[in-house]
Amino acid sequence: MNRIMKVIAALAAVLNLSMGTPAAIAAENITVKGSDTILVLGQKWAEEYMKQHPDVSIQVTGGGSGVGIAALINGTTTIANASRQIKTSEVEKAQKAGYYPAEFAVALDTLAVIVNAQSPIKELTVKQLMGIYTGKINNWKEVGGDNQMIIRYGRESSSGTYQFFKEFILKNQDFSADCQTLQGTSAVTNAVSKDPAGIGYGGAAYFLNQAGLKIISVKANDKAEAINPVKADGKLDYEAAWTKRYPIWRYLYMYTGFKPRGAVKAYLDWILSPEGQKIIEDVGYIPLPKK
Amino acid sequence: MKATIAWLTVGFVILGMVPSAMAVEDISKLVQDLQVQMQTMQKTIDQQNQKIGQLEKRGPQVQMAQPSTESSAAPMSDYEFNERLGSSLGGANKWLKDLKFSGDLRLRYEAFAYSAGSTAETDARNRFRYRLRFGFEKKITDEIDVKFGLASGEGPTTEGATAGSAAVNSDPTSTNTSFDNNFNFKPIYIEKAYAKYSPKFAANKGFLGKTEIAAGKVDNPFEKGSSDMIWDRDVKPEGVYEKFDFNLFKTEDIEMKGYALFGQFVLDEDASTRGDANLFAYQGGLNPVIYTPFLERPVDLLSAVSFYQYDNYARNNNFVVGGKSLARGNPNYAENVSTELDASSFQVVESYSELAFYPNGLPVRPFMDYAWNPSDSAGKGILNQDFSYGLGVKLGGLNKKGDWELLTQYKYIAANSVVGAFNDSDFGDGHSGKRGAVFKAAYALADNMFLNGAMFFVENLNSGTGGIIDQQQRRFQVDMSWKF
Repeated sequence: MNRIMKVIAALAAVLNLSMGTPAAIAAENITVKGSDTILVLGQKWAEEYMKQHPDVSIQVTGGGSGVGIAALINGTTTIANASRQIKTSEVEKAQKAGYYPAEFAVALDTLAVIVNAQSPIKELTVKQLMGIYTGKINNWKEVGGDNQMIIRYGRESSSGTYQFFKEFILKNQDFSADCQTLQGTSAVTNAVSKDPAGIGYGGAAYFLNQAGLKIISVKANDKAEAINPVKADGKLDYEAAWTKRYPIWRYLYMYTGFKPRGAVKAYLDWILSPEGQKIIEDVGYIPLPKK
Repeated sequence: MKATIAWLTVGFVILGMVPSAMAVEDISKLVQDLQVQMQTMQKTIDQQNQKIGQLEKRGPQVQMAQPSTESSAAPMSDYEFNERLGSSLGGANKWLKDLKFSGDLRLRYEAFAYSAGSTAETDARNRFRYRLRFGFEKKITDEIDVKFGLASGEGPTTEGATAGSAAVNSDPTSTNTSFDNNFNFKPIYIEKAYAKYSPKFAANKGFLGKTEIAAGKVDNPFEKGSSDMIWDRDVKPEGVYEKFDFNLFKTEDIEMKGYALFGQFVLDEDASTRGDANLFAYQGGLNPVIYTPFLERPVDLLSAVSFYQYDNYARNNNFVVGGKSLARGNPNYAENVSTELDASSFQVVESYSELAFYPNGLPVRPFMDYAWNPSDSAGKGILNQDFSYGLGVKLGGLNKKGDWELLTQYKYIAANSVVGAFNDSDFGDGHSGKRGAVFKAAYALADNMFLNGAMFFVENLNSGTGGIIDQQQRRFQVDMSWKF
């Protein structure tokens, strides 16, 4: 009997060595690839997580949402970052390749529209914004402002903000010919703050407490309530985004090739935890609503 | 004491004078060197003044660039960039917007061998072939796409077409062209040309996930999974199809999808009697994806049932194209009339199932295909030829460099069970009335470069009947292919 027990104990020890120990000591590598919009946020998450979990190595790179999803489909990344939802055709392609993308909405992003602080404009509808940026509306008088030409400021076409604004507000129409392309939200801020006839857009968090400009409210349609992405106390209005009352918003996503387990699941759980969501606020995006 | 002071004074004077004497010599030498250098420099200056004078006499032929006082130009607007690009490209940028090109080239070595002689092609053959496909997809709107593709293929005067027959390609199952005929130039055909409409109003509504309607010479929507018992991969049906994808339900571990597919295709339009030949096809499928505690990836089952009604295909020579019969393996011994097939009609019911699971991440896909033609007329021609089946398994998958794939399959395709015009063209010399095994292997040498090999061991069914001989056809293929 003792011999049997010893053999069982030995087997258990061997199994423990072969199955348990390597997992415990092996470093986990997680690669994250995709949206440039989420790049800085993704890097912050990775830095903080690796500090707390030295056994986990996370590499974060950009390239765009499509690039990340393509990498997920051919098995060259663990997680794909995307500032848009995965397309049906991409899901079908992934399934043929043996991947079953699992979706995680990890943060919210809102865009704010700004005018000069001297401008009488307080709110615009989404349709009016489309008209202004496509060149159909050219004078502030047409939308309740002074009789002066509208000076449009926008971002360069490589920016995720540009893409989002073009898709969401312009419905993929071209920007007006005279829309002045500026590099970076700071340039838009600077231009609009000095131009009484100017209008611009960008990440809402960036415009907080900036002198010389005004974040206007946006109405989803003529009958909807005008909602400002910033509260009266000067902070981002998370509720407005969470309840989708503020119309210019989107989810930011992370995709795995299949339902995650182990280190990948732990990392995603951490991102969705209060600790991970706090980093979203630090970077300037909007965390998910608390359950 | 005074004497001591006097000697010290003399000493200091001597010590002080010696370096002074040496410095005077050095200074003198230095001045001489400087004079030489100054003379040299003066010569250089004189030469340069002379050259400047000459240049000034020539007048202001060279404009001096002035340093810019302006800041660097602001980046171009989207509109301005497109306008300039359009100007450079003659407006082609607008045409190129949302246009996607794609294609592939395959080079093939193929060898045949036979276990016994037959009336034609009795000798062992070795041939080299290519397949070139090139096309584009243009997004017209968010809902409408147009696809167009060109492909190689055999010309009408080769591979069995009769002399003087209509100048049409007579093989819907192959886009290969053999290296043959003394370097002559090879034909190119329209492989596909169709428009696809995916209405937004019929998407993501309740169970309905997506609706797709397409018309033209289309990519075959009925081709499913790994089996080619009904459809060769090269077949592009002509007509209209409607597809509806359903998201039936989703839980933590199970996702159930389904689809319904309807097709109306033209087979032969110009029949003089008994009506034209058409194909009406119907397919419904379920696709449960189930996560289990045992595997990291889910188990994925595709199960589809199809019904293919080939109206008027088996009669009135509607299976003949360009003087060549496409009823490959579908016999017409009973009627002894070349215009009628023994099956009389093809109304084929098919059931296809494929399971995918991933032990240690390795894709394993066993599959099973069964087809039955209940309209095969009893008592006509060769009996009991109304069903087919195929069993196989595929391992691995080709997604990126270094990936590999293996496939093995056994098929039994009775003579009157499925239409021989459209199933796998590599399976024996005829497409139906065969049984045998297939082995395939593939390796991705680069992300878009593949090495493939295949072996077919196929024998005739019904040997001794109607002139069918007891013969085995062995076919070997080695391919190199590139996607672009």
